[in-house]
Amino acid sequence: MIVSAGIVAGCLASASARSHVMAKSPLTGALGSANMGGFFAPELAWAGFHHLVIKGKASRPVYIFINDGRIEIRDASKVWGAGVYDSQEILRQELGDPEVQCMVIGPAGENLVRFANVMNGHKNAGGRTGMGAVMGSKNLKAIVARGTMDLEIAYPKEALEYNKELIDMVISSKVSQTMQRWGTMFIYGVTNTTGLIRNRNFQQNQLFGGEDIECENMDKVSIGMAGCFGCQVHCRHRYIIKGGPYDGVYTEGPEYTSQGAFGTEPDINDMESVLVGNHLVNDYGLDTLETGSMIAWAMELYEKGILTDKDTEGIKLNFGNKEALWEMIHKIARREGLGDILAEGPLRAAKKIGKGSEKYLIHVKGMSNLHSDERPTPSLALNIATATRGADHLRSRPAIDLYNLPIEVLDKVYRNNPVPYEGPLVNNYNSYVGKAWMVLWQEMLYMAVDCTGLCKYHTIFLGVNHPAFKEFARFIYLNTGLEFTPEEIWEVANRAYTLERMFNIREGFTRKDDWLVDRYFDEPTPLGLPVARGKAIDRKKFKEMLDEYYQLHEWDENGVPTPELLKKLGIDKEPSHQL
Amino acid sequence: MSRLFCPVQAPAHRDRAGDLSPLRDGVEDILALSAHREDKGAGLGEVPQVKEGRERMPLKRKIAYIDLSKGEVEVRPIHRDEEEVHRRKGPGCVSPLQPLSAKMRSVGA
Repeated sequence: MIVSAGIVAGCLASASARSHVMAKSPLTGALGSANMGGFFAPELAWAGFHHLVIKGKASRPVYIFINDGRIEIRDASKVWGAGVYDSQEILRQELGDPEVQCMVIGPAGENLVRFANVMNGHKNAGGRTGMGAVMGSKNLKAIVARGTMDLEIAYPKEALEYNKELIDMVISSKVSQTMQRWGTMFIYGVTNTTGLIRNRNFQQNQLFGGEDIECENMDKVSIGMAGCFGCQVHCRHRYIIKGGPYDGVYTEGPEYTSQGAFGTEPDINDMESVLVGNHLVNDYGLDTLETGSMIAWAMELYEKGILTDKDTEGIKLNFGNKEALWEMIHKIARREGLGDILAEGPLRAAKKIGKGSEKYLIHVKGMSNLHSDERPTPSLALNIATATRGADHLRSRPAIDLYNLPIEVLDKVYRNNPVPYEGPLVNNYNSYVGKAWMVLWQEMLYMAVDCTGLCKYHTIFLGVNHPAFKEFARFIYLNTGLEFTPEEIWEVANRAYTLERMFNIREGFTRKDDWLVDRYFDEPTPLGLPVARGKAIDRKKFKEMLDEYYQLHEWDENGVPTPELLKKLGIDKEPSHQL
Repeated sequence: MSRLFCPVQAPAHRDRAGDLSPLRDGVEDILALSAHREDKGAGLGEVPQVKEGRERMPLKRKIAYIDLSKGEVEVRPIHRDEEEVHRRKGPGCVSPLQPLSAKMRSVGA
């Protein structure tokens, strides 16, 4: 398992707070990869390290303490079994330092739930692909960092001045100002009214009357916003649950993803469901997307009679039942009853349940999708089909395709920025034309962002005017002294993305895994505005788009990087991906 | 049929059904902003030159190899060969002994 801070973590670069954790995924068998915000990465950098390579398994529960250049492996018996919130408090008290920053796992990671997260703070989650289970398998409860060492800045005055420019660039945008007020929850208003969300496990694409989980309702419980290290956006709520069995509980979030996991997916128009569900996955250390998707899938199976009361041990697992949803979260984290099966993730769970249950999974490469419905949006469909870690919206999503931007704007973003592109660009998100390039371009951008340790909300993800390759080149230079042109950063991203692709190929993934489940092709969307209703992905056009995507990547017709590409990127002799 | 449009018809959303305005951020201004940035010389144009006599900033960053089975820790500098780093400028530049994953999302510093 590799834990990395970005190249400018802890430096004078705005929102450079992200940590990255990688290993082979216990969920998919493909690339395991999780990216986490918060405060851990800069603390690790100030403690003297930018990468940790962790191998082997401890004979008993331990945690790693990294303190100003020293590394100790310590006994974790006092903290093993504790939730994410308590674990960090216990470690702070044991070390006598409230400033330590922890990357911890909760009970879900200890119990080897295949989609367990690593966590920092209340909700900063390294989610997706089960990196928490990898830590649990190593008997590693936490990595704790405390750093007071200086990071030398190459050009401190200029770096500081440029950082102010970047802050202005990000903060002056309307999307950031909206995020400051509502967090990512604001997205739901548009996507639900349009018909771009997943409801009742993909059976519908709108949550009827879904105004109770609108972001505006957070005003009833939010006590303010919080941000990660070095960020001025502050996009997550701090809230206290009011009423019900979890009355008085404090936590942070929820994100748009948890609105979907515990609102739209299980068909629950009740903010309490979202707030409690978000709290439970935070404290157990569970991936909110996978958890919500697995439960929504189980609800559809229950609705269809594939799962019965005997299977659920009496839980009425109907859509719309928030108490059943919460109970299933507990059971997944503790691996009890049906929860033990769902904790195995989509493909293994379907194999255990049988009875044709696999037909109702919404996944790619064995990882469940975000609660979005990509049937009206071929670019987003290609994004989830080809992402290296499975169905994923953070690897290559051209989210701005949804905005129907003027062609001049698309030209500015996608053409010659920084590499040439002569093909078409179409500002219609129902179209298949030019979308392969948009997906590829976003792949390179997001890879570059992850390399820097920057947050994706500070690049062209939701905001069109945000920093990209040119700006990365400049702040890397000013902070580290390393000179990159924007084209060289693109090449670095391409090299890293190609390595990820080769890793998956080595693990047995092929072109057939860059595909969507049949429901995307066979069941048109039943609801939504005209632009989103009655839409299904066209198999022929999707295949052609996939071919185009491979060609643009310089991969062969099977999706394998060509020898020429590997040589050009300097990884033709790379030993770790050769069979 | 009314259920189909329920979210649209809810009073709070009547005026913003499918409204992309919060997301279409900067559409009106992006071209002007781009031009503004170019006028200001943003991008590599303003990168300060390395001062005469000043050596290139050494990157003193480290990678720790931790073996939980043996309880052993080994610390290495990330770069084995700084000249190679500056020549290739990418994750492929790190030691071939370094595991694959470490290179994936590391620019090479």
